[in-house]
Amino acid sequence: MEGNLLLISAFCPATISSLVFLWGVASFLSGSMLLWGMVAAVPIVIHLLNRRRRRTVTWPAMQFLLVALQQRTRSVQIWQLLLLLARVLAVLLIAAALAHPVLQQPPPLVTVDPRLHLLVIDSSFSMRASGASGRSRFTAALEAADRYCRQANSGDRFLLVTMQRNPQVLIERPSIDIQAVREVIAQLEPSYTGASLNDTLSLLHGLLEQATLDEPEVVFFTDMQRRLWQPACEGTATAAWQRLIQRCRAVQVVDVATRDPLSQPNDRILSIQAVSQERVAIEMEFATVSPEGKKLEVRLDDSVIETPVVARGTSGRVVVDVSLPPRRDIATITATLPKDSLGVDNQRYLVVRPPISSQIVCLGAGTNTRFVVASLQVGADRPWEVRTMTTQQWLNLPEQQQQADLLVLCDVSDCPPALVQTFARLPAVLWWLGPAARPTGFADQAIPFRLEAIQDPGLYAIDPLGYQHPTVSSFQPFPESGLLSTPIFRYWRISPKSDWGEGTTALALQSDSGNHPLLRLWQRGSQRLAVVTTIPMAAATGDEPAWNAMVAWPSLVPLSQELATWLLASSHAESEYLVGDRIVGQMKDESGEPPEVRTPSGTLMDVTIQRNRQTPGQSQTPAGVDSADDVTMSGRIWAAGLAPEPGIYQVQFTDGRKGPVAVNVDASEGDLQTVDDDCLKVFNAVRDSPEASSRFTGVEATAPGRLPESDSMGALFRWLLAGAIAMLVIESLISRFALRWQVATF
Amino acid sequence: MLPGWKKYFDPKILADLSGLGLRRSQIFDGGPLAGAHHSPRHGHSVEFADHRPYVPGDDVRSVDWKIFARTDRYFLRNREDETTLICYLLVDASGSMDFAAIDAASGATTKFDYACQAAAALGFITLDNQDRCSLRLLGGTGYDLPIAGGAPQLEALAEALSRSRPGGDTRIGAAVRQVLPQLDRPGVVVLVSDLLDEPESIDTAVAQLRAAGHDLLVLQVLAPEERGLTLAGTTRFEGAEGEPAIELQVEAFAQAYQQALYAFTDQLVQCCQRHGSHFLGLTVGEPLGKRLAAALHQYYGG
Repeated sequence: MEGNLLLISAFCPATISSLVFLWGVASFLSGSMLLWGMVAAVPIVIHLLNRRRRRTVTWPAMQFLLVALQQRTRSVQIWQLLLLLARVLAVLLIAAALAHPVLQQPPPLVTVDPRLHLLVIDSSFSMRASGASGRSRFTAALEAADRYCRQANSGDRFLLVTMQRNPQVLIERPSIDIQAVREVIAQLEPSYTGASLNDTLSLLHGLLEQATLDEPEVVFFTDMQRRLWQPACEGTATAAWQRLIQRCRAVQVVDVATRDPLSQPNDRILSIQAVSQERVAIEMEFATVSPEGKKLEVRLDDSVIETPVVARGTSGRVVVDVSLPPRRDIATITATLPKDSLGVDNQRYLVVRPPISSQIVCLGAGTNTRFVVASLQVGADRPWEVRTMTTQQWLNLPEQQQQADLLVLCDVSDCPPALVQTFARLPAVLWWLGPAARPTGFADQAIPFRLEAIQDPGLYAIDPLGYQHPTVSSFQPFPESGLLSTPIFRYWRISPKSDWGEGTTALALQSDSGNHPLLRLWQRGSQRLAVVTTIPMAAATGDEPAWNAMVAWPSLVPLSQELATWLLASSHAESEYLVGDRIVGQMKDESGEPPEVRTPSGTLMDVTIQRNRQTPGQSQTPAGVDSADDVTMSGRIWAAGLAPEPGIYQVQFTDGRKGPVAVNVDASEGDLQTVDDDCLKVFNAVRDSPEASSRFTGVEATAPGRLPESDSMGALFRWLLAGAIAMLVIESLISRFALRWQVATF
Repeated sequence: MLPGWKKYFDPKILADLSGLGLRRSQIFDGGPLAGAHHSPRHGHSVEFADHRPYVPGDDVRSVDWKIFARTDRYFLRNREDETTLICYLLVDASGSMDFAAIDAASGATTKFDYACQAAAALGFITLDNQDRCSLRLLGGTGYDLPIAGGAPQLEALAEALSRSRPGGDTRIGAAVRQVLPQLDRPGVVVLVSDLLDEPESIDTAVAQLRAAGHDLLVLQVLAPEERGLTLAGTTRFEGAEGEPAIELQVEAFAQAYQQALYAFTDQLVQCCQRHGSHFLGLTVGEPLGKRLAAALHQYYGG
């Protein structure tokens, strides 16, 4: 055997040395494929078996055989060994090629100066998604980062940052201890928050402004989620991204998701809204069509109240209304979808308040408010109380009495500053525009729209926009009933204010001429706003002043009640926190002790007491307190830490009061779409820089052409395959020409 | 009819050999027995040889009285003498001659049987020409026949061949040299063997035979499978005469085997030519009568 190995080494030094080189400097992405190398034992076993499987004959002419043996024994043995070697090498090379070898480091031909590496690992919860291999994206990112560290040259230094809602610098000072860096990386856990490229870039720029830092090589290990990375191409982060590229020696984005696609499409629960005291609306999004549908489980506290099968034969967004059983106390709603590749966003929580009567105040002249009052009071058991007063009467009330769950402004001519101040304290405001409105009276920054002009009289059909919005979705079964198909004659053209602040807006109704909004809604935090822009013809109301065309509609009653229901929805439930939010609440009295806040996993959170003043539109409403009269947090408040995980947090006050708090994940993070191809070119262009490509040879490849190491891996694969084919050709030549015998052993 | 008669005296073979016979390459003294071959002695045949002067003591019956009448001197009239040819049939009965085919169950003719047929055919035409022959087995078991002629010798030849069996380890060169002293009268030696021995040993034996005044006809008998190594795969070869076993991949050595066989045969041919002997290679299964007839016709003429 030793002789055979020497012989093999002597005849194939190049092949042996290349295999030794491969073993020493390469790692294998599919190491299990190396087991196929055991097939290399098959030719050897067959060779040995053939030597044992012989026939015995009695032969007279032995002297000729002896002569032949003396002449050819040596050459035949050599050729047989070469033949065996070619077969074994062919199998080994094929197995090595299938194992996807990746060079761990380039040959140390030149001395490389120590460099600074800034590793940025995406730890948003989308990285929890698991691929077909069963391995999560976050695990793949950690492994890629670990391989990157192992490639480091002596003297290289490392910084480590995680991308999440609040980006964290885990290694703030450049560390030369690669082993310690690897240990920190190995202990990382993915968060339950989303991530912001802007926040991350701001953090990186702040970090890089330290005078002691050289030009670093920045490597992002991420899943290239569209929500996170698209801003680098066509959004708010483009400039910051370009500055980062200019500031750094090289910037690299390693996509760890493409190579391991999702095991299942990701379904998610987008929201739970308490649309009334008796029901909640659960909005979900399904990635693919499922013929049998998905089972949604809805729990009220610990009891399952409904398990509807949803999204049967459909995909996209689905909204399900779930009726709640009668209750007297605060309760928690938990909605759960079946597990998929990303389970975090398959569960969502909401804390609903006990049934109480909502307060609606209609401001305006009596002739203008009566229609609203009439439409809201239709029905026997409406869960709200409606009051009317003029604007002046409202402003004359003490601040403590300016309380309402919904303030309706019926054809007010303007919104003076004193009135606008009360908007900020209220959870919902509705503007019913009319002919009295003046554009200059709606210029305050707290009002989300600007009045342009009254549209010329005419017949304008109403476009319900597919009845998508909850306020008009109940009209969808009756499109020809005239509820929303009666044309209108005039309306206010409005335009949104760009400086109103962050929040979401939705369009429920619009004119089919010019696509001008007829009913637009806003939501900022827990505050909800809406405006109705339609105006009646002047002669339509006889001797009384014209007010709003809605009064002439057959849909006035249901539409106004649906509108009030939507606007008052936030009053039926406690405020919803997202993971990463700070949980705050107002103290009942000035001398009370802070409550005890316990996470879903049972951990006690640190709670501090401070004085603050926050508005519902700017921050969270208090938790665990009587919300009806505590919508404004002023004075003494308690604040727990940042919510670390989703679930129901228990707030326990020293006087025995309890209050659950719902903390959910940011549903938008569950959108696992990757960046556009056009955007990808931006990252490819970064990657293709010579500085970058010389470094990233061993980081896990994720898609052909997407990462630098894929080139070296492809080249290795091609070389190994070519070597295997060459071995097979040599084997054929030896067996057919050198030995002149038909191969019967393989 | 004797049991071996039909086996060894095939009428077809004998018909092919009709009219042919063994000859010496030169006139020889075959002894006092009268025969069909010229003798260096003067005898009493009808053929005139020459005249010589009379010396006292000569047989007066040989005086040529016509010359005396003309010359008045006495001359004797010499006549040629005619003698018989002795054929020594040396048949190799070593173990290697017991080979017929690799497949022992094929029922093929062994080399020894084929060699016996050839020896019997040549013995037949020798005796048929009023000459005499003997049989000597080189190795194996059986018995030899002394020199004799006539039909009884023919029957004895058939009987001796039928009772002979090949076997044992016999080197043919040494065996020939061992039997040489027993060939007391010069004659034609017919050696029928596979000649599987060292070429030098065979050369020595041939040279000694020729030096002893014998003419030599060498018939090499080989089996078809020996001439071309047609096996496949790894095979263990065990020698028929006790040679050490060899294990090899046959296909890899077939060509070298053939080359060795050709070289050996070429050596034998050159050896026989060098010593004025005749060599004929035979393969078991060939038409023996035609091959022998063609060879005898070539060597000795019609």
